[in-house]
This record gives sequence, C-alpha cells and structure tokens, in this order.
Amino acid sequence: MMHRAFSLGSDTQEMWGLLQMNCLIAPKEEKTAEPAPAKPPSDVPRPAPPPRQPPRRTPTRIAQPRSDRDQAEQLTRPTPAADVRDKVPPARHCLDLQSGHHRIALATSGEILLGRFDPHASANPDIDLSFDDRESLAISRRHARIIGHKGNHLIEDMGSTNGTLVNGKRLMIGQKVLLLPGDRVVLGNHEFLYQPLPGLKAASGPESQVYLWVAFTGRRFSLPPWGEVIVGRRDPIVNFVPDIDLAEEEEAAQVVARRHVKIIARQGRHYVEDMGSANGTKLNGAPLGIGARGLLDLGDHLWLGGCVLVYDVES
Amino acid sequence: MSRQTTIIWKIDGKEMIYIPSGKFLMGSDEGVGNEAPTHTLRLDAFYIDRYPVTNEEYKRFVDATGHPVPCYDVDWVDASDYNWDPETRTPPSGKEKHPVVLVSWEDAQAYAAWAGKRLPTEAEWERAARGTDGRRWPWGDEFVEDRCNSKESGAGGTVPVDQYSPDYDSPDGVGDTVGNVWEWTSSLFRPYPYDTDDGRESQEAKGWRVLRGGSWANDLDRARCTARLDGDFVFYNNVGFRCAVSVQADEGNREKLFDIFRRAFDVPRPPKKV
Repeated sequence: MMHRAFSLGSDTQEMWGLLQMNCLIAPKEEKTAEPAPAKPPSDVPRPAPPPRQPPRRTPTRIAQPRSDRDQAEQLTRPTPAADVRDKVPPARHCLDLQSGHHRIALATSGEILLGRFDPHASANPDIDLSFDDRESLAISRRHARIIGHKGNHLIEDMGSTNGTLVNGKRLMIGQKVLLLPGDRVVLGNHEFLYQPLPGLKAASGPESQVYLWVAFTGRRFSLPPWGEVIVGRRDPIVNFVPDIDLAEEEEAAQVVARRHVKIIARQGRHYVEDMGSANGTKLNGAPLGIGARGLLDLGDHLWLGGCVLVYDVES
Repeated sequence: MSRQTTIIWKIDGKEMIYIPSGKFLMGSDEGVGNEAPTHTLRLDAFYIDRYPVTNEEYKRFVDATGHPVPCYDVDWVDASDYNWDPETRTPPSGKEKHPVVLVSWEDAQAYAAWAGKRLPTEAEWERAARGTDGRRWPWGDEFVEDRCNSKESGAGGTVPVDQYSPDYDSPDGVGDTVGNVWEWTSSLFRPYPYDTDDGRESQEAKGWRVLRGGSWANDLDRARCTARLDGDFVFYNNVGFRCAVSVQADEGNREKLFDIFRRAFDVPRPPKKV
C-alpha cells in the first residue's frame, strides 16, 4: 500500500540464490558448470542484498540549502547523495533494435523489465516497447527481464506468449542466459543486438540533435542544449502547460503528473530531476529519489509513472 | 441548528465531530467542470477530525513510530518555511498549531493507521465541510474574504487551524475545511457522480488521490466546499490532511466499533441508530 507506485517487487536477492544453485548460465553448456574462460565465472558472488522494496522516493531529507550560484557546479560534480548514478553505475552495453532506431541502455546493476505499457496494468515495465511493437503486437506486458551484475547482463523470459530467443534458441522457463557482445536477442518479432553502448561524445557532434521520444507513441521532443524544460501534462483547469507536454500521448499520458520531471541542460549534457510526481520516476529501472539528479546517456530510459521516454540522438 | 457530538480521540488527542448518516448534496455545476454534476448521495455516519492534523500532533506520530519528518531540499517547492529540524525532529517553531504540510498521501495514511483512523473519502470531506444544503462555503453562499485562509487573506502561508473557529465552521462544527491547506482524501480522482463502490475507494489501486479544500495559495473560488484537485505530486507546501472514523455498526465491524469507543477518551453518548 505504501509503495503502490513501485509494486514491482525486487526479488533479486532470491533470484541470485536460485542462479547459484541452478547455474543456468549458458544454454549450450549442459552439465558443465565451468564456463568458457572468456566468460565471467559462473559462481557469481552474491551481490549485497538490495532493499526488498526500495523505499518509495527515498528523499534526500535535507541537505544544505543551495544557492543558484552553486547549482551549475553541483551539476557537474553532484553530491554523492544527490546522484542516482552512484547507485546505478553508467550503462556500458545496450540492446539495439535492428528494425528501427531504439537503443536500450542497460544499467550495470539492478534489473529492468522489458514489455509493453498497459494503462490498466497494476505495474508497468521499465522499458516500453509499445511503439516498436505497434503492428505485430507480439510483445507481452511483462516480456523479459535483464539482470545486471558488475557490467554483465543476464536475460530471462517472464513467461511471455511469444517467448524470448537468444541466438535463435528459445529460453526455457526460469532459464537465465548471460549475454555476450554480438548476441542476438529476439523478443516477439523484434531482433535486438547486444553490443557496447556508443559514447555520447562520439555520437553527438555539435550539430546533432538530442531528443526524448515517447516509447508509447513514437513522438519526438527535441531537447535544448542549454536551460531547463519541464516535462509533464497540460491541465487546462489550472491553466498549466509544461514545456514538453505529454497530454497527447494517449493512455500513457494518464500516469504523467502536471509537473513530472525537469530536464536540465548544461554543456550539452542533460540531467533529470523528479518534481515530486505522485507516481515517481525511474532511470533505467532505478527509482530516482526526491531531490536526486540523474545524468542522461544515449539509450537511457526515463519511466514517468509508466510512460517511458527514450533519450537518444539523431543519427 | 448544530447539535454537535464531539469526542476526543485518545491516541492523537484530536477533537472529532460526529456526522450523522443521511443524504446530502454533492458536487456543483459551477467551477472548473470536474465538480459536475450536482448529485444526491447517502453516507453512513462517521466521525471526522474537527481540524487538520497539526505539526504538534504529527510530532506525536513521528515520535511514536520513527516515521521520517517532513524536511526536504528540492527546488520545485519552497519548503524552507515548513521544514522540520531533522536533528531534533521538531516542527518549525511558532508553527506548532499550524497544519502539517510537506506530507505525502502515504505519510497521511501512515498517520491514520497509527491513530487507528483512516482518511475521509472525498464525499465525507464534502459532507463535513458543507452540511446537507449544497452551500458553496462552510459559512454559506456568499463570497466573503477573511473567513478562511485563502489567497485573499494575504497570510501567504499556513495559519493556526483554529484561526477562523468557531465563527466560520461548517454547519456541523468542522473547522478549517476550506483554505489553509489542501487535504488528502482516500478517494481516487474519478469523474462524478461519486460512487463509493466503483473502485475509486481502493486503497491499493494506483492513481491520483483527490485533494479538497483549497489552500492559502488559492483564491476563494478554488477554496470552496466542492473544489477538487488531483494530487499528482508527492507533497507540497500547501497540502495536509485530517482523518475520519466510521461508526456504522454492522455484523462485520461491531467489534471494531466497540474498540473505537473504548479508545475514544470521552463519549457523551453513543451514536443514535438511524
């Protein structure tokens, strides 16, 4: 009840326990628990137990009052408490959709759920594939999950109708497969390539346009190189229109607050901060606490109460 | 006209007012559209806090439970006047009798659970603020400034919850309903007509919860008995709450009812069977 916004339980700890017992790391290696040398050891050390239900919006219950003058500096060197990246190190790999431009940056730790947004579902996926899947409708609401550990990623099918394939082999129920660069992952009818994430600097020249696109409708919103924009939902009753208005994004707009997040642009980089929205914000699956700022990288996914925005660059 | 039945709730020491069961006029065809249509609704009897929960009262709750105190440093709301001292866990001095603000719906729920109460539904809130005759403001139908802490009062912030009592209380004697702070209710924000049983009172469901009453930051046109706001934020510097308790005795909750009265400090008389 207290954590209604994030009712997707985090049973990662339990899962790692199971993983250690089953050692279902690679599909081809049948009994041999020893993986190929190139792969990380299968007896992955048990990670520090994550909070079972991350306290909803763990707020930074006061720091020192900041002055405006300090803010730019704080943005470039955020205080440890104020930066979610300390908990979620920068993504190094991504899933790249082969039939369209959709890059999914994968956080190096924690787990993210891939699926399709459903306004009537009690919980919605961290990564919404609605727009990519708008014609074939082959992606389940809860399709697959990716578990990050020290930069490596495991994928598990979540009991989807059409299944999850890695390099042509369909995953069995409960099977988790370690992804290696170059692996081809198929969800429904969509093929993704698991590969290193291109850096923002390399990909974006001075003239390149960074944008947010709505994973539900595919609509794009350009982001300015400097300044601040509020992302939310217009409300004619209180006569409020945010800079980026998601009111037109069909059902996905229903979960977005009038003032949901603020995007702060500094020196070509974009930071995100939740504006106290009731449903909260996640960055690549990790809840963004009140007062915390997240630095956006290409392929990052912003979850606004269930409506997912992808941060990427024109290429 | 007001034959009040008042109790003092032992756990949080708050004065509560008995609202008898019966029909009342809910909603309004004026306003911004989400209050329409005006409709008649029947409610069971309940008790409601006479005033919003104050800082002083909220402190008892955080002391008893270890719940985090309202204290934030964010740039989307000016919390500086309302932040508690995180070290001593005390409210800003001089604001002990002011309504607690910077509380989320979950905070309000936690307080209610601790006190053995619940949040009022938006229908109960409106019935308590408005009586049965469909008036606009607790004192009647005329627009008069300085009868509550709306923007017109010029206070520019919260004021003690009993500042306008008893002169401008509701017909049942409930105070500080309009103005001062928006108040969390248990209801999901759904279109009218109001129906208790259509899922909008699910406490587990996701969605915005309704806020009632307007605040010091709103003009008197918003600080009306029927105005509704969907709470799409976690907390704000003009949002607080008050609690309620059911008194309808049926087979299911008779035991609970006895318990409620055992815990109430002073019971002048049991509620009449209606």
